[in-house]
Amino acid sequence: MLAYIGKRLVIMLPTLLLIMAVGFFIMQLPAQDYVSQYVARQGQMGNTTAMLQEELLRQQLGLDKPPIERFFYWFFDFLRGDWGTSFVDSRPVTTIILERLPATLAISSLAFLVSWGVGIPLGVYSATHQYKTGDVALTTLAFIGIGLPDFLVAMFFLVAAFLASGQVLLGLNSPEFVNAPWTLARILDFFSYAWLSVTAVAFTGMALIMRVTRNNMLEELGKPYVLTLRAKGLPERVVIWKHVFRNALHPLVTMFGQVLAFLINGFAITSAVLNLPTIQSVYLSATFQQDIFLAGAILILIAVTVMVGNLISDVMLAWLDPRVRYD
Amino acid sequence: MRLMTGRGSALASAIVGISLLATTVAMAQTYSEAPALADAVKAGSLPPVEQRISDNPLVLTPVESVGTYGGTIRDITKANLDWSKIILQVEPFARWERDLNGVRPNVAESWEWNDAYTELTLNFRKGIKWSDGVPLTADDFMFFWNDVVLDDSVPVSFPAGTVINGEPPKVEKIDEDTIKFTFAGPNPLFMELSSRAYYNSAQWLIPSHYMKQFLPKYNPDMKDTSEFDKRYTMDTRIQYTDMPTLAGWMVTSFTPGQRLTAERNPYYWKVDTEGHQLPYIDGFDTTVVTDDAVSQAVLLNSIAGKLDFQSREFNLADVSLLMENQEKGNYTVKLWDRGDFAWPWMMPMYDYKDEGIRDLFYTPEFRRALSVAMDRDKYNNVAAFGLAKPRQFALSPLSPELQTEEGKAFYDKWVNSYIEYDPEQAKAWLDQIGVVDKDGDGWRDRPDGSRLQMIVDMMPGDKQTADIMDLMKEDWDAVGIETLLNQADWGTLSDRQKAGEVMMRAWGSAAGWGLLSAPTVWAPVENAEWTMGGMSIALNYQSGGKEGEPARPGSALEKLQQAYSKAVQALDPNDRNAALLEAYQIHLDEGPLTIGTVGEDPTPVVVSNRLRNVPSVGLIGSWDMGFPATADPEQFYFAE
Repeated sequence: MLAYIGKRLVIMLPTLLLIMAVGFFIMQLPAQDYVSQYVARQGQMGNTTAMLQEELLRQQLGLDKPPIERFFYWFFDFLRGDWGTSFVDSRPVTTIILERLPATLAISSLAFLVSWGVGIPLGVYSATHQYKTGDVALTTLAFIGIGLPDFLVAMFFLVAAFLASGQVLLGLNSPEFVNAPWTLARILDFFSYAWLSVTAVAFTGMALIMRVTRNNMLEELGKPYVLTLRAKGLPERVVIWKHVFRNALHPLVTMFGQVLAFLINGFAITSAVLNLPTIQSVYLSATFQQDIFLAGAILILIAVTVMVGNLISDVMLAWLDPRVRYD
Repeated sequence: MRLMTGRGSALASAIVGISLLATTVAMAQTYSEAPALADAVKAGSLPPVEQRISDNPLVLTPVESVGTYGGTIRDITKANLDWSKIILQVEPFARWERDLNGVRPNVAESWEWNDAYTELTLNFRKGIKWSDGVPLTADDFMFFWNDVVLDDSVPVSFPAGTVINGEPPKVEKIDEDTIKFTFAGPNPLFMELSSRAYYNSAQWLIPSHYMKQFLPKYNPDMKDTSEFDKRYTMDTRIQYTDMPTLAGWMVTSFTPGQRLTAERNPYYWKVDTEGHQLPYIDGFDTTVVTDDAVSQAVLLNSIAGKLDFQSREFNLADVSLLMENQEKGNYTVKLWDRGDFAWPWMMPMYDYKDEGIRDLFYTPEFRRALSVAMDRDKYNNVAAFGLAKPRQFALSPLSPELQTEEGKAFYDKWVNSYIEYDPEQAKAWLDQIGVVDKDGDGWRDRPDGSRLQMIVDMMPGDKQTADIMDLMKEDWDAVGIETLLNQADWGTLSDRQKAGEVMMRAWGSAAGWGLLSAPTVWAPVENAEWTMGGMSIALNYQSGGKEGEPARPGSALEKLQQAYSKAVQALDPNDRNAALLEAYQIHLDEGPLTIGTVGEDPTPVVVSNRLRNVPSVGLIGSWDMGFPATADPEQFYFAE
């Protein structure tokens, strides 16, 4: 098992290198770069002589060197922990990411806990009560959840909450708490905002988990061993949870591979429309503005979480099911 | 010598007398200050108010009444902080008048031109101080000029409007408070142009005692000028809370993407007519919002009564909702002008690589046919909720040269030319010039029988433009012109425009004012994406014929370039206005040369019912005119 994990970790390195290279060169593809966007902006403000500064600015930002050379500078600086400086707000990329990491993890792990914590039991309930009123109601709800993108659900909740309470739940804190220490008052204030994004994201996540659980459960419930167990006189609770549910877990564990990446990069559009101070919203704007170091660093972060997540889910699957082989 | 104390040279006005009177009244008084500052003086942490403000403070006449101190304005800005910048960073040499009728002294107390308008002597307000108490002197500007502009290792080149005939100006220090510019040729509009928004002279005024530490020349620890650049560029200057400012409020905290706060500058150098040091308002509490959330944020927070002063980010579609909820949110909606002459305007590119298309563009009947084929009332009702005005391409009626009787009469003719919806007339004109369906496929062809398609490019993300373009396509299709719409980003369009590969561009909200703001929208004279006519034709003019391609001889475009040359050389404001009207006459006679759709959209400004002294007119479309700073937020105040 350890050898297996070791092998997987070794394979990750070239994969990561490939992702970095492809990501970096995709970011070079647009005809314009950050400096030409900057100069165009200056020109629109009447500062047409900014064009004269274009080359000097490129030199200062290192954008005048050939892409290959820049890639290697970036790559080795990255390994040394120097992730570069954001062109747009001229602060170190690490600062920006670390500043946004807590809020990102808080919202996404809450969303994850709610969608899995609620989705699984509801899925089991749905399966064991197939075609009963409860199941039909839950299925309807799940279809709505799967059908609507989470940002739309978020907008709906936003307006509904506003009409009901007059609160504008954009962001994750009232303005007066933004720079404040984490007192009880701030935590309560945080939850008074966070519930909206968490529910919106969890609603669609939950719908998916519910459907997957229900399908697997139904598949398992139809198998002969369930009949045997019941014939044996085992209590229904034991049949469902100890036997059927365990066997229905496989696809969920496979899905778990994406959870880590979700924690960093789920619900990007929801982040943007709800003004959440998360990594996702900054990733979106950095990409649009060709803020390459910031966008590049987040891309790598996502890539790493995807790979690690997949590794964890593979290991878990192997541990759960001895039939899965290590190769 | 021409002495200007109260007004800009171009636009002298009768208010001179009033403001001089106000100055005298204030001089006779002692000054008073905000309670918090008085406490600090008592505690000994701040010098008394008389020592803090300049020897001759600027007296602001309140819009309604003298106010009282206190309160924090709550507002919202996008992530690039543009709304905050235009409130907190507009302290240029001169500020525009609230009615935009010329400029008034600001950081510069007075200025004098020689008769040829080549030499400008500019006097900084004596005793004016940065927010840390260090005086602003001529040395600050000389530092900017010698160590920043003239130093090739700093990526800041000659500021806009200083280079004349390709020659940079000479800048000298006369005494502690006086500098002198010597331009290479007449530069009569320099004060007006340099007073636009936060990115002209407001940007050039930097505290040398603070900025020196970021230049390698003065500080060997600096390896390049990037730390300097971040503080110089207006993109990021506002983030540096330790950087001294001349503005009414200093930024005290900034959390990117979340919140910005500002509080009063104790050294602010403006007083009201009773000698109260301004600003009245203690500070700002600004929420920073992503571009995607901002229109929801301003709308909902207005209705919830959580905003005191806000404009810019509202959707036109939300105006009626905003109006309905005025009582609930305890605010009043003031409709300021957006100042845009068109949203969008259609720019045929006379340098398009296809000669056949160029021939058509140079044919007045073809452009007129396109123009009258457009049902502008429908565009207005569908895309702008009936709030805009159907109009031809014509500059803003607030432009100074359109303010005279003659100018107003001319404007009426111009703005209404060829806007009557008349598809039959359009077809007749097209038939007349031989643009008829020759191959029987249902679409009109070029006079030589080859295929004709109008391809219109635009940027994504501008709903009003996209909506109107969809409707316009129907209208042009209906008269037999096959129309294709295409969306592309700025960079792609820019490259294609430079290469003559854009046939026609629909440009979003645009404001242009005679010679003061983007003259290239009415004459192809600047090599910028927003030039009329086409970039290479403008480049040809700008480079003196060395680059690009010339406008066709005798064409309206060539006449416009000549008329522009004449207007910029006019020294007397009346001559200048006359020259501009002559130039616009070319648009009227041969036009439309670029085609207008609808424009003059109003901009809702949400003002808390507690907030006073906010003028009911303003122009907020182009940043150039500096609103809302031009409305003097320093004299806004909260009623009890």
